[in-house]
Amino acid sequence: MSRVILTVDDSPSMRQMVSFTLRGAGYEVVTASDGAQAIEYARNNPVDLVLTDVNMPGMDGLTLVRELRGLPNCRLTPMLVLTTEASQDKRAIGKQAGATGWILKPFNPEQLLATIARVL
Amino acid sequence: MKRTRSKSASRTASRSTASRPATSRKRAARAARQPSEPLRLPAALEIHCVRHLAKLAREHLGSDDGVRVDGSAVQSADTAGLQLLVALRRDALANGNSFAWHGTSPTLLEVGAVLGLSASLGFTEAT
Amino acid sequence: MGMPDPEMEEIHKIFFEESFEGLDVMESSLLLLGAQPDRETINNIFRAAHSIKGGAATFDFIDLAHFTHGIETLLDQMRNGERVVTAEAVQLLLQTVDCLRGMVTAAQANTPVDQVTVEALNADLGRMLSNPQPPAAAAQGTSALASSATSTTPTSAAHWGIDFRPAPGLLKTRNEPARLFAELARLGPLTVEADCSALPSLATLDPENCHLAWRLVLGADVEKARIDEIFDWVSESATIVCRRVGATDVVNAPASAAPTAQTKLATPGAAPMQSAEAPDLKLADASAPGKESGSIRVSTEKVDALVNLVGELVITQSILSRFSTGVEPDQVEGLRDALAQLARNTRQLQESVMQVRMLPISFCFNRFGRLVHELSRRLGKQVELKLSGEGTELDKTVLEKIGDPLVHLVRNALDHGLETPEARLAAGKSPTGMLELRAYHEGGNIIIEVRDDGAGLNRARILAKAGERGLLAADAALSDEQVHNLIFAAGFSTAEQVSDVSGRGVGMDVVRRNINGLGGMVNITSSEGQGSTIRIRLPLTLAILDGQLVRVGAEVYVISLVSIVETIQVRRDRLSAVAGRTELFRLRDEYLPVVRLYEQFGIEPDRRGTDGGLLVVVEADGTRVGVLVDDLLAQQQVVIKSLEANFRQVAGLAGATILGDGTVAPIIDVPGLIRSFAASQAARPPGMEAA
Repeated sequence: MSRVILTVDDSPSMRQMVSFTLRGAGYEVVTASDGAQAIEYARNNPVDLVLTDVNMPGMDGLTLVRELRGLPNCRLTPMLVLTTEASQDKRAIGKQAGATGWILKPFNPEQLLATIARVL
Repeated sequence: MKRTRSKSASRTASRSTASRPATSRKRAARAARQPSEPLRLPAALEIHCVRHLAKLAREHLGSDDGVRVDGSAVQSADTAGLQLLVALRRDALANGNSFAWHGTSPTLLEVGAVLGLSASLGFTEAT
Repeated sequence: MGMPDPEMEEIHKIFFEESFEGLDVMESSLLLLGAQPDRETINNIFRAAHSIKGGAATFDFIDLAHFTHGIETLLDQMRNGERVVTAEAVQLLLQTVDCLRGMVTAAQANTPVDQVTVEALNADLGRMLSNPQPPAAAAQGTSALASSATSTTPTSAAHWGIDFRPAPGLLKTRNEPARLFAELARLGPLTVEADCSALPSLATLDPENCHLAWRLVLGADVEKARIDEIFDWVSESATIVCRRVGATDVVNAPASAAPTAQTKLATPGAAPMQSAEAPDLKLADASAPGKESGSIRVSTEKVDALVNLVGELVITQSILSRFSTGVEPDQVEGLRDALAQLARNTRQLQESVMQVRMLPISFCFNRFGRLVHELSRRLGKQVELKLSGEGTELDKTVLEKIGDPLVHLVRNALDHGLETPEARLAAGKSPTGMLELRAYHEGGNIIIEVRDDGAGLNRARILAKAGERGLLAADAALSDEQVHNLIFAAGFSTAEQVSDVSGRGVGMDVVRRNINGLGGMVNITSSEGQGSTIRIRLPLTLAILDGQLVRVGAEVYVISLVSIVETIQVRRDRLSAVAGRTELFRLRDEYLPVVRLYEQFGIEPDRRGTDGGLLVVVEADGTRVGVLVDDLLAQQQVVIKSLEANFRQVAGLAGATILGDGTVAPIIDVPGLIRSFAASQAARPPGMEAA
């Protein structure tokens, strides 16, 4: 059974790009355009990994990680942050929020897949 | 030593409960509670299942006889999973019980080695 | 990347669309910033820039990403309160938005970028960024795994000793030590020693926490940075001591040794900004409610295909309705009912599909904020822009095509219509001029008005110029309105000097032509000293038309109902001819030129005389003519089929349609017809005999 990756990004082109990359590697991908959608999905559906942007309107990605970690079925789910943000402050917040890792955009599809493979 | 609990032995134990003095009755009662099957590790020996596994491990620890663990089905393992087994083995041995592996999968051995836990898990002992 | 090109192109296309939208957001938000700095607004601008940067970097538009990065940095400072929002900064950012638009367009068209502008703006950005206010402390973030290499390293050292003591919560973040060690092991031979001394008994153990620690020796002469890289993410959740050791050093030599080498890693959140000196910028925390977009993107091709199909459906339904005549009497009623129902369904479907293509005119109006801002600055005028009816919807294609004409009209109003503050004061007006863009629905059309309270049009000057250019017959008696609308004539410009803003008079006639091409009309009303109003009328859709069918000889034509004023019977006694063969028909107190359609199109009419004929009075651009036809047929809604697409462009025709009996009926281009008629009359030498 293929693993389910929940991808969260407010940019449709990014979502498409990531979906394309992950599906090509055999993962099942669910996309959400904001934190609220992601939480709603994760609440009731199995998710093997979460991949989220940081800068999104409404709920930002790090808050999303924190919120998801509070859900009983996502408590221990690997959560990767995929973002252009490189600031140490943001990364620190990410770590405190419980993120599993931090991937910088632009992402190399091979690298993204390798990172995911390591965590899943 | 007391590795396997044969059915006849347990039957003997329960049959003779009534006529034994109190302490051995307690001991026999405890023996009767003991799981006769080894603790079977799941295919994914990972953090997701360690809470549940810890509960099972504690039950196995309660047995008077040795602790047996069947790790032949393990296909993936992480620190949380192995750490639990380290604790189980150590506690069993500390109680004067034995600890034995009833099958170990290659993955189990490998991850144990990567984490430097081969000795702590008893992989390097002859079983 | 090894991805198939069409897929990549599709994704790029979406990125370009998003970027343009993001740039619009940046621009309109920047304009708002000028009035009132607001945290939410700055955040919006930042996020838009950030999004563009991310996409640009992902899709390998390096220059774009690089340029956007500078913009983002400036915006980041603003949103952190490290930098005051100044008018200068806003202006620079507006310029960068323009440049970005150019860069995205270039990327989309695969054409080179204007490097000169990019570099100049980069330099400006650099200057502004290097002007600290307050001095932004350099980011503390460089994580430094303790490096005691200087103190203990023998130069021949070839090993690294690593003490790894994770915080209990490490495992819950799914950062797995086994994985980290496996990565280390890729760098070289690795020995791992686990320290289980802190592992509690099974009874009290929280199995999800990490109670183990490790000592590792990596037998590889690698850069420390490579080790740091592997532990980078977990460096916060673990104590990591990384020492170079000699080959002979034993790593588990007492933990008592080298506590000097032990350093907790850089504490997170070392804020680079002075929080005490909250700058003069009072950022209001107005939270703009996020816009719910219950919508989906659909390609216009799909929608157009739908529109086309519905058009075919209408034609088919129309053909069907004719067959109800040859049916058995007892079935007729049932058939008629069914057909009526079909007609209703089709009409509703058609309306729905048309609706799909409708967009609010705000998409077009929104660019004018910026335009008026820039232009008024450049012209030294004070202008207040008022928009109303932005929610008025119109067809997407009409919307796209009306943009440029509107821009020209607005530029014209600003340049020639509105006066300088001094002139306005002298005229007893307020120094700030008013420019209003207004849209509303009327009948089956959308009306767009461009109104200014400027100097208005000067009749005398227009007449003089028109005479100069030979646009008028010498004795033409024109109403004020007709004179004013001469500004739309080709080659007309009464500006004293040609300003670079609106350019020569080439604009207005192109504007009118474009509007006519959309099936619309434009005219101007003006009051000298008080201002002018340009009124544009556009059909709500380009696909269907309410038309009057007329017959000339054996041919059927369609005239759009909207352009018809009235229809009358021709009476010989009302006709008179003037020199030059122009026939005029006296209608009450007006004289209408008569256009003989059969002459225009070279057909054989029922009659060449005028008795018994019908005159359809049509109007365009403030001018009325009477079109002579043999018969009036039905009034019906017709589906406009393009002549260019199916045949070729024909002067005087604005498309064609297929009638219920299968005949093709050309649709008359009323404004074009009137113009070409007027041209042919003006060119005709005087003295030819009357018809």
